[in-house]
Amino acid sequence: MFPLVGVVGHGAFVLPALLLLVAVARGFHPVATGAPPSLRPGIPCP
Amino acid sequence: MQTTSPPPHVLLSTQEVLPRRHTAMMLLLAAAAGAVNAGAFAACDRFVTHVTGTVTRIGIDAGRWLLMLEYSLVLAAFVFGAMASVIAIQGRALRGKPPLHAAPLFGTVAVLVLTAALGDAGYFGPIGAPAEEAIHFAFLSLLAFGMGLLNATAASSTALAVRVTHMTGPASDFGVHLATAWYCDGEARRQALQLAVLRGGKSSPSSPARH
Repeated sequence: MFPLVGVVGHGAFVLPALLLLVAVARGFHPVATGAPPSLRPGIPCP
Repeated sequence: MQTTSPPPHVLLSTQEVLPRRHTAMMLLLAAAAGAVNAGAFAACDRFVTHVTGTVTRIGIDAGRWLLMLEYSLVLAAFVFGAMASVIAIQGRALRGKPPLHAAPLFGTVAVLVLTAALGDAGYFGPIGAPAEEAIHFAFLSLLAFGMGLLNATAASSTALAVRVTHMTGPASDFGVHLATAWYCDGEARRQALQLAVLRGGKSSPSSPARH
């Protein structure tokens, strides 16, 4: 990132934004993480 | 060991966050924070993802009231970012609704894209200029807000087990868990080592392969 900012300027901050989107796509939400049923949408808490 | 249910806003309890299948996700969050910190340093010679440096700057600039105020605004932006994460996570859980764990991360993405767009348009001045102008502090405050949002989301979603924007806390936890493992044996040692690895890099060779 450090050299990237030197080359493309402030536009380099899109890179960490993409990393966060990949993290969400990889499962930063209840269904993908296998979180307890109470946190999964559509599955009522017993 | 007594097991209790995690609070309803927690996505992954301390035990649930240990398996390897979550490693990439947590590393991506930490990598994003590291990239932002390096980017802020490249852009205006200041670190922005942790508040220790900012608070130290406030102390260093004691007596220079405008600079103290500007660094205080950066600090406040980080705290406001952390507070904003509560809207989608604890706030919803307290109202009986399912928390939206990804929502604050989308907020951070929006902040970073806005920073990139404004910077490219020239609003934050040239790359490499030291933070002296008000616009530099606006830049730092914007990033600090995004990092507060990101760190609080990771912390809240993992029952405070994972922090992604700074190393001091995880390094301390790493030392504590490593020393605890030294004193324990059996399952307690395995658990302490797993927790140490979680803090030390989130890649435990002792994590069961079935996860």
